[in-house]
Formats: sequence, C-alpha cells, structure tokens
Amino acid sequence: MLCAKNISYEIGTKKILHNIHLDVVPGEVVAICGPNGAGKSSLLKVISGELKPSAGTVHVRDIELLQWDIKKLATIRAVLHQESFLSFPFLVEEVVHLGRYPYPKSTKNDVIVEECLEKVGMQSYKKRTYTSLSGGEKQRVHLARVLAQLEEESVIPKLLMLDEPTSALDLSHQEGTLHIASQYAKNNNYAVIVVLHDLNLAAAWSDRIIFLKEGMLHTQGAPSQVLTPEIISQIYNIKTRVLHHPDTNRPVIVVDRSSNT
Amino acid sequence: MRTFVFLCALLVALTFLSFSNGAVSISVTECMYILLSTIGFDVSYPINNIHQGVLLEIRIPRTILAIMVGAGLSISGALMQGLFRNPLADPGLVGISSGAALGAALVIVLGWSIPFLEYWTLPIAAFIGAVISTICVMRLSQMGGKTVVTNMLLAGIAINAIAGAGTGLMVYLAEEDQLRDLTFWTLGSFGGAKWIEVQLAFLVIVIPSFIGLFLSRSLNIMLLGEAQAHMLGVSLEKIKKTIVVLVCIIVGSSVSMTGMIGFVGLVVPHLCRMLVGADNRKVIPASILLGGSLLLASDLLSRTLIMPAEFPIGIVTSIVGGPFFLMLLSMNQKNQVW
Repeated sequence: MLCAKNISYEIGTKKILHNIHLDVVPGEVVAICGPNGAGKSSLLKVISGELKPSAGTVHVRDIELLQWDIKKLATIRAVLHQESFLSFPFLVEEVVHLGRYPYPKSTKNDVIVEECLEKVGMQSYKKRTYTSLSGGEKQRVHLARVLAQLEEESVIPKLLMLDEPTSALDLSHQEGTLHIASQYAKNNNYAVIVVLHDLNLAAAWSDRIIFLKEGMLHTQGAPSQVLTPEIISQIYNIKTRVLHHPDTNRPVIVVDRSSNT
Repeated sequence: MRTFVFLCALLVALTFLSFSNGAVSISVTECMYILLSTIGFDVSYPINNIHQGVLLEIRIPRTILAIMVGAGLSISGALMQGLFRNPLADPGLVGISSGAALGAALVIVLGWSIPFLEYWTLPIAAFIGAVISTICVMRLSQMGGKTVVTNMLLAGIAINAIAGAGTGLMVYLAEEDQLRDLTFWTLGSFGGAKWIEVQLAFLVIVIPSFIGLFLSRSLNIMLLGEAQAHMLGVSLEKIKKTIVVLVCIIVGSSVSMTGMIGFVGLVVPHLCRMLVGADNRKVIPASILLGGSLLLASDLLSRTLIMPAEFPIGIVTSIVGGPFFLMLLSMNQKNQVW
C-alpha cells in the first residue's frame, strides 16, 4: 500500500529524518511513536507528500507519490492533521462535506456525511457552527471529514494517516477514535498509519509500532515485542514496568516508581 | 433560496431608485417609458428630452458601473479572505487598492503610455500596482502555510502608507487638468462614469468575477489550510495564482475608474455569511448581488444627500465599514476565532 525507501529529510544541515524504510500493508494499523522531536510528524508529512524528502522515495500502490494525479490520490489517501486553521463559521455537516470534494456531486454524499458524523458521535452537532465547538469536538469533525473522503463503493484498499488524532480528546473519545481506525483496518482493509504519543494507546490498538529516535528508525515490531522496559528506556530514557492487560493480554506500560529518584 | 430572491429584488429596487433620483428627478414610470422607447418600443408617453438625456447618458452608466464595481470589490474581498484563510482580509485593508491607485496616478502624472494599448495603460498600471502590493503582503504574512493575521494587517498599514504617500506626491506634482484631486484616489467617486467605462468594466470586472464563481468550491477547501487542501486534491499553486490575478484585475481596474472605495470587500462577504452561512458557493453569488446593491445605495446617498453637490462615496462606505471592522475585532477578542 505504502512503501517508503531510504527517506531522509533535512532542514539546512539539520537532519530531521535519516534513512528510514517503511512498508505498510492494507489491513494493518501502524503506530509511529517516539519522544518529542524524534521526527514523527515529519515522517508523516514526508510519506503524505506534504514535505519533499531530501533523499529517498515514497510509493503509494506502486506509483511514485509525485506521479499521482492529486485528485485521484485524494480518493484513496486521506490525512488527519494535528491542527486545522478553519476560522469561518461553517456548519459541522458542511465541514464534513468538504471531504467529498474529490467526488462528483451526488445525493449519496449527504448519506455518507451523515454516516461519518454518526461514527464519530457528532451527528447531533451537524447543524452547529464549527467555530463554536471545543478543540476535541473539532478534532472529531475532522476525523469524520477524512473518513468521508475515503468512503467509496469500490473495495480498493485505502490509506488513512492520522497525526496525533487523540491529542485533544477525553478518555472515551480517545478509545472511540482508535476503535474507528482499527475497525476500518479490519473491515474495510484500510492501511492506517497513526502518530501516537500515548504508548498504552499504541499498545492497545496497533498491530505494529515503529519507534523513532533522533530521526532514525530505532525499533519496530508488534506491541508485545517492542514494548519492553529495555527498549522503552533506550528510547525515552525512563524506567518502566510492562504489565499485561487483563482482558486482552496486550502490554500496559506504567512508570517504575520504585527506583526513580 | 429566499435570500437570493430578496437580494435580487433589493438590487432591482435600488436600480430604479438610482435611475429616478438626483439633481433632476425622473419618475420611475417615465424611466420605464424611456427605457422601452430606447429599445425600440413605440410608447405614447410625453418623454422629456432632458430627462431622456440625463437617464441614458448619466444615470444608467453610473448605476451600472456602481453595481459592477460593488459586485467586483465584494467578490474580491471574498476571494482574498479565502486566499488568506482569514475573514479580515480586504483589498483595501491589505493595501491592494492603494497600490493600484499609485500605479494609476503614476501613469497619469508622468504621462506614460503603453504603445498600441494607450486605452489600456491606466488599468494595466493599476493592475501592476495591485500585484506588487499583493505579493508584498503575501510574502510578509504567510509563514509555514499559515496566515499571521497581525503581519497581514501591519503589512497592509505600511503598504497603504507608502502607496498613499506616493499617490499624494503624484497629486502634488500634477498639473491641474492632469489629475483628479486626491479625494478621488483616496475616497472614490462615480462622478465620471460614462458608457465607455461601463464597457471597460464589463471586460475587467464582470468577466473575472464570473470566473471567480467557479472557484468557490475549491475556495471552501482552501479554508481548511494549505496542507489539508492539498490532501483533498486541490492544486493550490494554480488556485492561489488565479485568485491573485483575478483580484488584482478587478481591484486595479475598479480603482483606476472610480478611485479607492474602502471596506466594501470586508463588509459585504461578512453580511453574506450572516445571511447564507460560510459556504462560498453561496457567499460569492450573494456577495455579487449584495455588493452591487450596497455600493449603489452608497452612491445614491453620496449624490443626493447634499444636492446638487456630491461628496465622495468612500465617506459613506467608511462610515459604515470602519465601525463594522472595529466590531469584528471586538467580537474576535471575545471568541479568539482568528
């Protein structure tokens, strides 16, 4: 679905990303994790085509990113950004409708908008003004917008990229958002790439975690393989204990309080 | 839909009000008969020749020009607000109009003329002035794909000051017959409107405005942010360039014909958003109708309030627009929208 090879990205002489390989297949949820400034968002921007890498190539479905017709690409790849600059009083449903831009006008679009709003639990807000919403509500509206952007009858695998989609959300909506993402991966065969800060969310919802440190790919693998106290301490420089979730047996990370000074 | 019917009706009503009022009062009925007889109908109504002359040679071109300029400035405001992703952008505030005025004043006073295009020299110079100011403001106000509003407004202040000084200097250097006075350039007037201007305005205001209508859907997407728009398949560079060119043609030619008329591009799209919401597919057509009406109403006031004298139309638009701008600022202080 997405194949990035030898990605490097520099600003001046400062290396932000260094020689990163990334392969994502349909149906999997890949979490990009790492400390602040590790290059997570930059990596997402490079593989989404927002930034041009200084070296390396990005292919989406075996076609080089720059060779894609951007309107065509918009129907199979959507990106949820961390922040949005929308400062005009659109109605919530109109914002979600913007996601249907790459498609021809049709009454089907209204149905899709409605469904996507329902998925993020914002259907009762559809006639509200976007600018009057809280940060977390806005984030969920934009999630609905990017979901609407990929909604199509064909079964082509889609690529969904989320940059810290949970940053403004409360506990239940953090779960809700990642639940939606993993549902789309399982049921609709989407490839999902999500930048996450919270290791426990990554542990609970991703199939694979990619750890970046100082612009380099440090470790990658299934949550149960890479979420070990050793690896976490190498990356974050903090002592942790890894427990197991009583329901799923997935790792749960807590800070080690016994030896911290 | 009802809003659009209302806006059309308002425009038609104001058009006839503008036809009939002025130094010579012509009844609406007589206006109708004069119009009918002009397009070839045989009317059995005693048409006054003076009235006919006033209506056909002065009032109608003036009315049409006011509608076109009002619509053009309003659509330019809506396009600018999309380009800067900010509801405070306005061709006057960010200095595009004053750049255009300087371009036009330079050409008039220095007597420049483009070979083979003499007639077009003035609008072309105004266009170039507008483009230069626009590029300056865009360079100074955009950082990392985001508009820094303070920079945009401050750059606008500086450009307005520089261009205003330049225009002032040109007026000072001008021979009396060369240049309309400074108030024309700073506050505008439709006093000189003739059919030739109407024809010119059709080409350089109506056609670009019409093209602007087709940008409305992409403009909605632009408001999400540049990166977001790109991810939705909008070719940003193309659209941004198109907007700049359209706005500069419309504003440049408006200014060269009628001087600087402030705040129209700020106020009208805002009012339209209150009426029809933020969707540019509705805001832009509504701006055309409401902008035409409002500028026509302002012109009517400017030429009837102290008859037979006229005062500059920019006084009317600024009296309404200035407080409106302050109100927007204070609303933002509470909501922190921008």
